[in-house]
Amino acid sequence: MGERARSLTQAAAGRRGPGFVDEEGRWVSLKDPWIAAFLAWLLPGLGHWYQGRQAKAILFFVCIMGLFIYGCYLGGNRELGYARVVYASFRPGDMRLYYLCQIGVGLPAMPALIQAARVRQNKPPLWNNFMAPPRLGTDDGNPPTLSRLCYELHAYFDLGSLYTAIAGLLNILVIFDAFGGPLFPESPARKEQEAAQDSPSSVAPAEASETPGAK
Amino acid sequence: MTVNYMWYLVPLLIAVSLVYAGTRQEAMPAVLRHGVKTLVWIVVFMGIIAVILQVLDAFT
Repeated sequence: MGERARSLTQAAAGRRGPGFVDEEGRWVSLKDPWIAAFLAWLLPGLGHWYQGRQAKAILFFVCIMGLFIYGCYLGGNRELGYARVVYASFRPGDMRLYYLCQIGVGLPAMPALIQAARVRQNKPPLWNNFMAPPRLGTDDGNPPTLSRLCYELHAYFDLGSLYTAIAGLLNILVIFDAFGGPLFPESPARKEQEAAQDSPSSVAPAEASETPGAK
Repeated sequence: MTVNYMWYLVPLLIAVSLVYAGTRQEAMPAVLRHGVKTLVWIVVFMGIIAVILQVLDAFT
């Protein structure tokens, strides 16, 4: 739905705050879109739950957290520690750009920041190296080096990285959906409706009624 | 036991299709319909790319 058509629809709905009309003609309130977007980033689906869109909240939570958790499971084991594919490292020789995508899931990727801060302060990682950055260099020890992670986990290191990064990227789409509602596909009927609303003859009265102080 | 890595594509495809559909529709039946269409579209598109690569491989 175009921005103009959306605002006119909103005006017609009687100033109920930001929202949109869904496919079945029901008004869906976005409440405070900024809070919803922040909550959607914090935990996939939480922004939609706050807006009362429970079905989509559950769908997004299951799909995105399912991908993220499965990726964490693939990219780790009991010996090396779990979720070794999610770590924050921007050191020379180990620029983990994947993390810029993974942080899209918000809170579930945050332990990596705690672990990175501990490693920077030369403290041992917590929780059996969960989301801890690998040791730099070639000497083996605790935590294991990136070479050893790749050697032990084989292709699962890349698969886990991919799953978790895609989960983060998908959540960015979800954040936009929480902020502005769905981007409905264009249909011929909707195009005609928007064209009719955008034509001067139909827009002028609507704008006049919307202008404060208009007679 | 070795697993064909292509199987790891299945959950990824399902999740991507459903989330993408969820950002394009609001009602759940519409989301599911759109998700199935997106899934088929991705599979067909990847199949076409795979066929093209196979053909190119056969002639090189």
